[in-house]
Amino acid sequence: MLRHCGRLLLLMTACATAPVAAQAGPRRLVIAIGQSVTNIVPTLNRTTAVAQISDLVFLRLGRYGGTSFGDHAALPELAKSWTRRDSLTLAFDLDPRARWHDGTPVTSRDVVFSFARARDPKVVASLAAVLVDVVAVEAESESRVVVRFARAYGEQLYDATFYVQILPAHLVAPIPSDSLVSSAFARTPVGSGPYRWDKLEPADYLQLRSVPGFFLGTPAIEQLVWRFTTSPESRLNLLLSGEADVQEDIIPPVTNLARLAERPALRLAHFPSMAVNYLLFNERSPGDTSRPHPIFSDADVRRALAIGLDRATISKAIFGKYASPASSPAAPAAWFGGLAPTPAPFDPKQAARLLAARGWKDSDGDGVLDKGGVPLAFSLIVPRSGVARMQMALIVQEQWRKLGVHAEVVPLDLGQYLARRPPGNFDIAAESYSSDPSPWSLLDRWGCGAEANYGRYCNPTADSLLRAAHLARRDPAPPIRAWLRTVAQDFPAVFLFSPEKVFAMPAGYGNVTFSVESAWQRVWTWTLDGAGR
Amino acid sequence: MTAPAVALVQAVWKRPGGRVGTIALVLLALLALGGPLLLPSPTAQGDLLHEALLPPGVGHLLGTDQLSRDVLSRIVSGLRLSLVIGLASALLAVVLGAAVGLVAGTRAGLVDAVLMRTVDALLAIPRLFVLLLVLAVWDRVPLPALVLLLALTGWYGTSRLVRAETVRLRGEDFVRAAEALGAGRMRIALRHLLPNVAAPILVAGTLGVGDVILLEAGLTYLGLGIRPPTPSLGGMVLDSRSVFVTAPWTSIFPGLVIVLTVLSVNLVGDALREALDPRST
Amino acid sequence: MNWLARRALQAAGTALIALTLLFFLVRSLPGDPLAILSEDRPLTSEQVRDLQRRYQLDQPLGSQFVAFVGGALQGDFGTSIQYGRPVRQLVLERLPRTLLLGAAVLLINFTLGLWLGVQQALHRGRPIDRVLTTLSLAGYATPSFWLGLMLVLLFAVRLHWLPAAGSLDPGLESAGVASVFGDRLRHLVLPALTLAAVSIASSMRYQRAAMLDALRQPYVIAARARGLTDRRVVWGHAWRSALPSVLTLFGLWLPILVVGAVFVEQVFAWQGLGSLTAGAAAARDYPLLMGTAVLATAAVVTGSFLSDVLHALLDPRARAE
Repeated sequence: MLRHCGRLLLLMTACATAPVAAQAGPRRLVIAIGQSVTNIVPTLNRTTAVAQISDLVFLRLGRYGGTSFGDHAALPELAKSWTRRDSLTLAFDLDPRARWHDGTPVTSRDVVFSFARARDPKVVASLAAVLVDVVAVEAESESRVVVRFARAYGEQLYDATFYVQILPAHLVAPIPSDSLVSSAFARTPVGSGPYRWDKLEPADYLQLRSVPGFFLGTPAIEQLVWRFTTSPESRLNLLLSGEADVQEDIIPPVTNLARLAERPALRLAHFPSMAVNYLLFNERSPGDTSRPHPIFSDADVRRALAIGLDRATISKAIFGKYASPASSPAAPAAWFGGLAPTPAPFDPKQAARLLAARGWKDSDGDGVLDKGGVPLAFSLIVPRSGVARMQMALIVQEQWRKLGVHAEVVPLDLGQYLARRPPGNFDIAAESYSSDPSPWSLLDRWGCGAEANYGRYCNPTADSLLRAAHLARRDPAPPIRAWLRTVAQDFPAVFLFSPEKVFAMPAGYGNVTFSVESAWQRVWTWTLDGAGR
Repeated sequence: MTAPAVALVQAVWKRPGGRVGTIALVLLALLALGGPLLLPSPTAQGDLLHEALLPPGVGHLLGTDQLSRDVLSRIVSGLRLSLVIGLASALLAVVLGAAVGLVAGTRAGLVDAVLMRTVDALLAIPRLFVLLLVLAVWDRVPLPALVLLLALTGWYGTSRLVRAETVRLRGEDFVRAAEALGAGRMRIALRHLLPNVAAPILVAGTLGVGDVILLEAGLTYLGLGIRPPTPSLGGMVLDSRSVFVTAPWTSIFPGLVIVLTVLSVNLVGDALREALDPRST
Repeated sequence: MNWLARRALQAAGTALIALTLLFFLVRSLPGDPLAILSEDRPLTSEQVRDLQRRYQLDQPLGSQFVAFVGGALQGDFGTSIQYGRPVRQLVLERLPRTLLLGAAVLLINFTLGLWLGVQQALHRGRPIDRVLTTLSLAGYATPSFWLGLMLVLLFAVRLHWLPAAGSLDPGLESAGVASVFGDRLRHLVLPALTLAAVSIASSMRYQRAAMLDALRQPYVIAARARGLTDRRVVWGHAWRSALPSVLTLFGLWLPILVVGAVFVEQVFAWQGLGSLTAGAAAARDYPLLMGTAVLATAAVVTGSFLSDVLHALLDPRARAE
């Protein structure tokens, strides 16, 4: 190595210091991510990266327990236990050992304050909307909080725990709500989790440090560093050169997996995600939502476009074996994912027949089907930052071309892509959506008139099934199963697949667990006993 | 071809740089024009699971990309697009620049002052910046619009050159003579001034072609120019970013073709400049 | 002094016209800057109205312009829509990185570049001159983003000599001044080399032409005839007389330092103003775009003003013009 260095004067200093992440040992974990983070205070910012980091600093009453129904929907976190008073009331007992990072104990006042903030529609309207059934949160003593609900339903405990991270009232309450984002608290937040805010180098990295006396156990990894690097290949290069220990989402492309072999100290971690990739049909005319879409208002055409795609090949070409087929918006990893029907098989002949039956024929011989002088042509909007979705769009375009369907791929900047959806200003959108682990949350995307139902799919029967599931007090599975089947038959979108989360990470940690709903949530329980470095 | 033009071509040919550049440009143009007749479609995808990222070899001379498309076909089509955009925008820019320069140079006073102040201001705003602004907003950039945009941001320098030359020539005897004979302002500008400022225009135009090709490649690389699946050289480098380590052929060749094309154009431009202004050597 | 005042006034006028043109260009583009804020869930119409009030997007264009000029004169460009923070703060945060990269490139171009230019002039027409000319032209014809990728492929991925991206290694923050300095330098090498390779042609060319001019001056020829050593003639007389016109180039370099690195910063994930600008353009973050635009334009105007002043100081003849 040194021998090479002498050859180029400029590179001399370059060789003097070796990459450091690799030497610093397993007590420090450097994670390369694609988004940059400036602020992790709950209710201020909502990107996936922020949520994952925020979950390590700000705890909830309880963390997700693997289902959204019943009184086992949560595991103890800030609350060490809870008791049901009646069908409308839950009482939570706070863990007396819980402390804010400034040493103050966590009390019921903090919980009451945080719920009041979360339920204020002026803070985050969509958060207030999901908490509509939580009607009162009261402190009964320093350590006991009582939550009352508007009605009896199965997801009460889930609603009281999943959505609200607890903020320190003594620090946040004095700050006016609008200026929280620019406050000193936002710059150096104080939480109650296993890691505390250490340092932010804007646009470069964010560093968290472990809380030694954390009341659930001291974390073994002392420092967590998130390195912000927008381009995926730069992230991989950081990993391979040893400047980062972990890379999230190392595929696509699948060829990256072969490169991991270059670094024997790395291993692959993969776990299912809540994300489903789908091509969302706009069932209303772009620019005028009062009129039906000239092409996609026809369910048979939507069906033909779906079964005319070789979804298994698309998934394999992009994600290799790290994706599973999807027939509905429910990811297989969701607790209700197993209730979804199997996807309709690839059948180009049937697709062509369906299109012909609906009057789409190539009457002018230009290779594109038409009907009444209108060609079967439309645009497909894609956020260009998504490597997987861009590839997906180009493959889909080519497969549809063979059916006589012309899709124009329109890559958009993320902001523009997002702006196109609410007004329905698109034909097809290449979506990738991670739902919350509650079937009820799907109504926001697929229910008639729901705010985030950008394709304006509407089937009142389906909506009532989901409502029935939400209110079910015993077994919600039958209505959920019926809802999934209805959506799979209506084809409001071409549901393609659910990609797994594939991480590259150092070998040598024990008790490695990733959480489906927030990847790094359990990193504080990892052990170093197997660490070989 | 008129005699001065023939002399110019000969002068360019006489210089080694000019000769190499000309030969390379002719070869590249032939490839761009003839290639598509012999090669597979640049957008056709093969077997995605077995023909993606094939290394260069028989069947695919420069290999395939991650969507199993033929890299050579895409390069040839991209090259054609680059040449078309480069030539068209540079031509437009030069026409625009010459027009503004002639107007400013022949009409002294307020018109000249306003035009040149504006040109000064336009020159102060980095070209790339203006292009980023406009292109980021359009999700669909029709080719003519892209050409027009590159031309509209590329004429300032030419107009200054032409104005300076025009002002100098206005003092010359032959222009004064024409004025004395009662020739109109338009006539003087087109018949007497334009042919005499042709040299700097020609050089600026040629060098402009290279600049435009580089700019287009860069904009497309940033995701703002030519849209997929239309092959463009900058776009190919962009697409290859996620695989360029395992499949370097997907990014090496398109980049090399950009370098070769722009270098050839600039060699010819340089030779032209030297031929027209021997003092600069 | 009179000349200086006139030149300064002219520069200010140019800057003002440029800003006016830019302002109306940016504001006339269609687009929805509020969309980026609603990354996962849509904003309510109430929130949208609130944000519009905050960013004055609902005011008529004319009053937006007046507010903008008033703010700009005080160095205040408002709050970035994308980041929710003051533009000035964001720009100041990114400025050091861009200046560092720019300074490194300048250093290479004005040492190696000028030296090569002198060598070319001295060996005018000989093979070394031709080879250097062709090489520099090839550099000029190379897309910086592609060259950057190739250098990463070679030096970072294959040879592991240098980091592939970023401008610092977070692990070294506590490792002492020497290793922090070494770390920054390591990260700087590839981006600076890339940018220098594609831009060195202009310094070389300018120096070569200026040097050729100087070598033709009677006193240089006379000095040579007096039998002074070549080295003293070249560096003591000819190069010094060529210096003023070469320094003009220095001013023209400022804009490249401010926004010219957009591609290189992108390839190397270098968090400077170039990448900030590209992101702002993509997200149509009006206040942020304006901030960087003002800075870039100011750099161009200041650069050409400074180079004129410098030129005038070193070569009084220029003032007569």
